[in-house]
Amino acid sequence: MTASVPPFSEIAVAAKAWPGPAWLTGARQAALDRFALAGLPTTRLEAWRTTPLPDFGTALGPGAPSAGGQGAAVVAPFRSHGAVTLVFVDGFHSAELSSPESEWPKGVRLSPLSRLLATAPEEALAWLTVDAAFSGALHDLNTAAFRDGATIVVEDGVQVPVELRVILAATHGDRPVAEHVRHHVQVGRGSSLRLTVAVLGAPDALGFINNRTTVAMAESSRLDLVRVHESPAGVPHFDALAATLGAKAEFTDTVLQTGPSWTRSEIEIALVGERASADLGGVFVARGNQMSDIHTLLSHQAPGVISRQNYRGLAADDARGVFHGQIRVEALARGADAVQNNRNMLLSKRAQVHSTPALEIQTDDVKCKHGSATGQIDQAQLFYLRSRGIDPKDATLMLTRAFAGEILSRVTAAETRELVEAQIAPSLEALGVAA
Amino acid sequence: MLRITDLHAKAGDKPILKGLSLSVNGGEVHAIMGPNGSGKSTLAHVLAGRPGYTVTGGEVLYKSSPLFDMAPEVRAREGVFLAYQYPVELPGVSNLYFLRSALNAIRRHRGESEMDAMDFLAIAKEKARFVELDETLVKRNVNEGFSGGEKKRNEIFQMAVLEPSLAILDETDSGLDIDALRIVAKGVNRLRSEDRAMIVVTHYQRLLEYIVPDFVHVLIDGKIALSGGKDLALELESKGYEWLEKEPVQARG
Repeated sequence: MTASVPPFSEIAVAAKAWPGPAWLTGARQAALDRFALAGLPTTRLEAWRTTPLPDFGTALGPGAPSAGGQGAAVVAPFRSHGAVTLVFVDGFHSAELSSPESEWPKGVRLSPLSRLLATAPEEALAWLTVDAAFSGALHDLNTAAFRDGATIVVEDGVQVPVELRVILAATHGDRPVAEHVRHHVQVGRGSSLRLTVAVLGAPDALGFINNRTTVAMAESSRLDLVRVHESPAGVPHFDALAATLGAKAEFTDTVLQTGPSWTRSEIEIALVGERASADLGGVFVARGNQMSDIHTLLSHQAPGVISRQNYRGLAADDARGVFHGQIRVEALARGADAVQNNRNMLLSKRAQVHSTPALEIQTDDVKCKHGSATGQIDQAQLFYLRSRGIDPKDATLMLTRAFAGEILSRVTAAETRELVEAQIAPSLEALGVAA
Repeated sequence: MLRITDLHAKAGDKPILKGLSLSVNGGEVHAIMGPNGSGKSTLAHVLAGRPGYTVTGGEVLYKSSPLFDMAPEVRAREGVFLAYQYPVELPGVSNLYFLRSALNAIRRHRGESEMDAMDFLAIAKEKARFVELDETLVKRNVNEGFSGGEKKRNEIFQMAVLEPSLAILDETDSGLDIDALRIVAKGVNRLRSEDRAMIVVTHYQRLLEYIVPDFVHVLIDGKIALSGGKDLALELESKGYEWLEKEPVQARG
């Protein structure tokens, strides 16, 4: 029975056949050893205290391409609006579903990681072997088992005129299969890029998505990132984003976590250059027995850096949400300015959200504010709508949509905004309303 | 239109309405006056169906049907409209979207077709002019960042769009300066019609200089202590409510 074989040994066996330079094989083996030693995280670990892992079943082994042709339908809504897309089905690049290379913008080196490792692996050496502070078993598992991903390198002084989209589709329906995906985005000096990353799947898909993105931003660069986390119920999704911001770099990230699967997003931003700024926001919509978790770590390491965080959560039925926002201000970061805001709305008596700010401040010369509020839907607002003839279900939807809308309004590009609104609408409509 | 018979109601655990009776016909404007705590706002809220109140006795017939058998949204679709003393802010909900949803809920209830955004915009603009509400406010989020006067005007604007049969104005004058009061009153007067009844709840006679009622009722301790014509308001202005609180007076008019 394969289920009794620990996943790391399956990966170790499979990895022997994977192409790649010796340093990568070494890094994979080291990561696998760490994973084998630590095991999967449990709620005994501080970082996982409020987030029990789902039952992965047999979904932790090495990935495998699927024969089914469901990818096209899954990614269809995101392959429009003139954006340039890179599509990965079950963790493997699909040239067929991606934009043709003739459409790729100038000044940007785009490549599936599998191809980069086959042709110019030294280009990946620097970022593939650096580990972010959010270390842990699932990160190690990713390093040990990733097969593909998007690599995007914007050269210096390039304002990329089109939006890039990286789309992941989980489609294995016969048995649970893992996909460990690794992306890297590099934005050159004075350059700018708009990037949307969508993690999706066929409704009946089974498996586990372990998606990890590293971002390196050079001086005075700009990256506007929008992420849609909507993996199907049978595909838990662990996501890690680690970005390093150079001087005066401007980074925005908006994450929509709409389930219905178990989902955890770790977001780790290092503001290492003077006056770098990060403006982060996100909303989760959790229902049924879903677990939705957002963990942030904003590390302020240089003078005059600025961070903004605005996260919201909606939880219905028996759903559980977690927001953990850590702000770290190092002694060097004089004049740092950090604001964190978290608001959650509970739509049933059984729904829960754990909201925890964590501040570590090493200098007096800092402006730091944080606020957190979790409550039910406002009864006075609800009654106001009902007293105008609107039934309670529609009234609730109006209020939850408005609540999430503040996060959606962060997405300023009209076509992207339309896309994310259409994406989140069914999740909001599906929220159970308890009177 | 509305017949209230021996109505008893509690706000939380506290009995507030203690045997209130009142009949309102189409086309009439009734003013409900009375000291603080006499039950004026409770009456308005109970009629609209606001949670937190319990009806403990009596009967209310609206268009010959028992009002309390209807959920608040059904009352609204049947033509009951409450203009709030403290209109609620709805951040992120646009006035136009909100009101079109409300109007379409009413239209569906009547078996009429729904109105699309374009047609509705034309109506909203016309009604905004009618009640002198700035068009920019019409397009903003519901009451968000509105001044007190703008919120009250927005209530009257909603009333103009939804065209209720029975409008209940709960202390619409509170917090308004004289200019804002005039504009609100002008809007209300333009909405007076043969088939629309209004109940104007107010503490002060001042509003009734601008919205001249057909009947004035004085509410004391949860009951109507005295009823009369529009001149009763003037009498109350000079004499206050105290003489009514001391000894019960026979209803006049």
